[in-house]
Amino acid sequence: MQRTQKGLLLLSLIPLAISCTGRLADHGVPPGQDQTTPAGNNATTADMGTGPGGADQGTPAAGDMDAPDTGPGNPSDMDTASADMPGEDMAPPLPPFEPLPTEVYVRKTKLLLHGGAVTDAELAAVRQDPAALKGLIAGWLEEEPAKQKLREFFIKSFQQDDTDRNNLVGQIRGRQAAGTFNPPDIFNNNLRESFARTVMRIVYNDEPFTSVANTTEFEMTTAMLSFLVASDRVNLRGNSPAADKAARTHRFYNEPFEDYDANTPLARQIRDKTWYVNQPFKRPNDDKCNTGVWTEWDQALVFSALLGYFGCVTTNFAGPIKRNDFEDWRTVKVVPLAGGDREDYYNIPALRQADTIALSTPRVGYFTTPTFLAKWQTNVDNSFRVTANQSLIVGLGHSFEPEGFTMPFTVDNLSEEHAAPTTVCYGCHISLDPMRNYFANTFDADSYGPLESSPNHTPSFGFRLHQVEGTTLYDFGEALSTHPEFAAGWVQKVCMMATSRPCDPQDEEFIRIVDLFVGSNYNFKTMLVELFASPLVTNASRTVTHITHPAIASLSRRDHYCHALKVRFGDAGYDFDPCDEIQLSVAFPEDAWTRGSTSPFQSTESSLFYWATLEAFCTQLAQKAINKEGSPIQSSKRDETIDFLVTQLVGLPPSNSRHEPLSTLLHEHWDESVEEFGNKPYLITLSVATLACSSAYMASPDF
Amino acid sequence: MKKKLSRRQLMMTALLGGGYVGLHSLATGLPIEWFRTGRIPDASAQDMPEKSPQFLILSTHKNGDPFNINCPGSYGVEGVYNNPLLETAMVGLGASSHRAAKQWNDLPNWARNRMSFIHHRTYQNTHPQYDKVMTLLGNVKSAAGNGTDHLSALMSAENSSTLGTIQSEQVSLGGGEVSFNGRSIQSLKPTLLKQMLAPLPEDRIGLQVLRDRTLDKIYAFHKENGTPAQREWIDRHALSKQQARQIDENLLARLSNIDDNDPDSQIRAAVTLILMKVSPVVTLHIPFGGDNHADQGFVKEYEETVSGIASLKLLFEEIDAAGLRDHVTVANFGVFGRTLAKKNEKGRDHNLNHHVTMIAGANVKPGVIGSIEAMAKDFGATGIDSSSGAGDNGGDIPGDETLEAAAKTLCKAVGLKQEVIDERIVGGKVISAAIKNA
Repeated sequence: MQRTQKGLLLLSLIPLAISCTGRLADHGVPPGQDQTTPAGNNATTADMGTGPGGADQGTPAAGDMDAPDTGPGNPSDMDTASADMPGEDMAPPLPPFEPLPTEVYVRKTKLLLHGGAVTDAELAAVRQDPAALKGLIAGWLEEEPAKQKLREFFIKSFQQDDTDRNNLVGQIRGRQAAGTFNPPDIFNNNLRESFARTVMRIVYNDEPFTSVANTTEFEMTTAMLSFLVASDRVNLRGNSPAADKAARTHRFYNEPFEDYDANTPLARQIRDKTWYVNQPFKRPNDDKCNTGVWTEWDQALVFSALLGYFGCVTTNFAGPIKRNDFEDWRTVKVVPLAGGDREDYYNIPALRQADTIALSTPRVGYFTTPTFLAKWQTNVDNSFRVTANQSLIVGLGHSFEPEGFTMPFTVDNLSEEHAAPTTVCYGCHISLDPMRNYFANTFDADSYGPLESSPNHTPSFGFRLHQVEGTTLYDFGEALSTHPEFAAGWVQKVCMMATSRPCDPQDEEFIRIVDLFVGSNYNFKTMLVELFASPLVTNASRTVTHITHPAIASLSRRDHYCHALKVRFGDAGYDFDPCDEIQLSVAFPEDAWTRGSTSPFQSTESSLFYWATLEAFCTQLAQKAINKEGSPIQSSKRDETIDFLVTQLVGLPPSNSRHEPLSTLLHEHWDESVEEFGNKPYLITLSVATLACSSAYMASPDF
Repeated sequence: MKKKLSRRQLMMTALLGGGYVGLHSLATGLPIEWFRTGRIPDASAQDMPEKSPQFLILSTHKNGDPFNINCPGSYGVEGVYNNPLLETAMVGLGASSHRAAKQWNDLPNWARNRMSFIHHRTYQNTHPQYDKVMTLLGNVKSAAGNGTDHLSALMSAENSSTLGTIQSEQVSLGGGEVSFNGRSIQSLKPTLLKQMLAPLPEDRIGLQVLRDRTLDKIYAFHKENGTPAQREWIDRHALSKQQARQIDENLLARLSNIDDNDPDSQIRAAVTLILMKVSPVVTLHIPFGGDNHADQGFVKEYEETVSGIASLKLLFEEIDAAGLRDHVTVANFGVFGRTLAKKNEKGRDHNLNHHVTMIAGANVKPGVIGSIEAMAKDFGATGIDSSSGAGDNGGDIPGDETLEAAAKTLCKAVGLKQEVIDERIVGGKVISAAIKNA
């Protein structure tokens, strides 16, 4: 049952300004996060008053964007508020605003979504008809570079990154077992990409985006499947008799043993748990490592061996899980284990064929993936509060706040320490503690593996005017997917990615896009097209957001900058991923989701170190590209090289008004360099390429 | 032998000799005087006390390390469960001595003789409230008075011109969430500093000067023709380039041996960046036990208290070796402390009522400030008598203003003027007992 009615809510009537210690505290709600007036809830619009965001604001639709290349400098567009802007008689002066020229916002849009350089034809199309931008965006979204970009966006925004062996090991080792877990990087990448690939399937199959919260069908590889099955088992050590231990022992050999050798059928090896590994994995004269025998009680060791890691030595996929088992992506449905046995995690041939897998651990939505649980590690004291909170942040873009809370149906397992009704803590814990029970009934707080027996607390969902009954993680997923703020939360995430600041949730243009997202049955691509063509992103005209959150120019963060470089060299026929080859690229700032934050940590301003990184990186890039076979940067071809740098790399097609000035400056730099330092083609090309690569057009998407 | 020109000399030659002063001034928004002297004159610098202002190296993180458990002032209270694995000793802080983990005695005498441990509250007990605590719950007012800012940003901005630093923003080395004027600061990896700041080979320096001229023409174009947002961004970007050119290349060798991003490497990088006069404030993270809920037997708390104090020892040694003993203040400032009572055999919870800020610097009077008492099923910081430094619930600093008081005291220790402190921070007061000649 779901309820989203104000009448059912227990909103905080107590001015919760008294903290747990009785201290007067400031609990300001961040801009755009008014707890009692969630964005997208039409019922609240009438209560907003006449300030910025009021209902009477004219918000130009995308079709109302400026005439072709009006550009800054047109007095009619500069620093003037529209007549229908609120409070013009008494409000303070509006922040300065000038619309971005068409050539700038088209370039920016393609850079952010796709990475490629805008062509003359694309620019001409939008100049002729600004509405053509939507068609271009829709087309770009179907191209591989945009899909790669979107996948990376989903990895971060679903908080599926930051997985490593240290935060993952508990899930496969459990509390009672031991053993080093040392998977290869490709395995961590499997886990990192799995849910993003799942989302891509949902998006490109035009399924409702709300499925991300309740899907049980995941994109997985065989290696990942093996991990999921292995981590579905609990208390392997228990009180097992010695005979059981023997039956659970795996032996790995790299030389013929008894009648096991390279020709022994895999089925027999699986049955006998006796594996022949056709590669040395023992160090000579090293007693400590001279083993290949582990029991499943310490299945982290067994699983590592399946992956090719044998305690001391990492082999090149010599274990039963082969290289291809990390690359055979497919859709696998996870269903509840209803009696019977689960598949053996070491039965790799069976797992290779599996499109359905039965597990006792619920795997549903983004919040039960191994990576999400690993990134947001809980503990007995925290007891999954962090997990529940991060789930809300991902799904809805909101976190628990002490004010304006929504009462859940039940309040079982409420923390006595934190939830005294007269404290600010109460406002969060009254909702948070019952919600954590969804997880606490399922997972072990220390190991993040499944529980041997559930404590059977009663979960309940009550958050931001939405109450849902139900006791399982599937119900939790339904609560998120049916939450009225789900759509606004995701429009806001995309807005922050594109503009490096939030959109005003009360901006009618924002609300229009949210409504359109909902009306399209949560079609994510439809939303992307509308938002990226909207003045919220293009800054082609002013909306309320530009008043409450003035537009900023931002630096190019790593995801945008690196992807654009790779795509643009690729478009020139040169397979070159500079950031993959240059270590310094990791020094570029990147969007990062930190614990409890409802917006990503985003550096936007240039700094000494950003400049230094940019210049040093560009120099290294030039060194790696100049005069290489197939490279568009050739010291013997001045004009062609400069044309590539301006048109392709920087992304200013000839019809862009900045093309000619930049081209001229690069030619001048070349000529002046020859004049002052003599004919040193390599060094001069290095300098010209560095100049282009570190110019404002590359350093910021907003030029 | 041909004398090697520094980047800065080359830049000045290029700018002045090339007649580009006006262009640069236009592109960067800096006064022409800056290009001649390298700094903006500040008349107020002359009336600062001898050891003010101070650079600050600040250890900070949202983990909520149990720093507060085993330091001076945390022992001797009935019911407080200090780490069972750490041996204790009387630790000398100037003329006074206090029981604490014995490793505190490993710090150099000169450092302990200017070290104060302030016991206070942070009022918040969840990790996401780190940002809130760094703004003292909104009580650090931005320079314009219309918003809030991080405490470290306040100190960095206020001390920048008098210290003559290249930039006014903090430098973040510890991966924490640091902001300046409400904008996020990029966190740097020490291992990458040597790459990003590497000097150019001589045959490329001239080209760089030419390239800078071209870049400045692009900046000037956008400064003339850009939108307000573009102009603002290009101003900062152009300034960034000039700042990068000011890096003292003679000090880059100090970065060459940094091969990881551990606390000790952060320390070496921090001292080098201060020698380069890059920023008034460098933040890093020295772990003291981390988020130790599940710390079975308090082993991690023990290990990281030992390693954390060892890192502090290294920090003071590096500061001393660099000749910065009287010019750098060291402090820690986190989101909360941890519970002091024994709950079970593992770990500690968050404690909004107790945190210890350690401040060590030339302007600091050594000792322990404040005290702890039973509070809310655990222990918390009492109020403070600012003149004596004693824990006193009847003192002039109530317990609920001890966070602001600790922050104001840190500001005073780094040399901020009283009127600036009072203007920028609401609530609390400087604890005079922790400041020399206060």
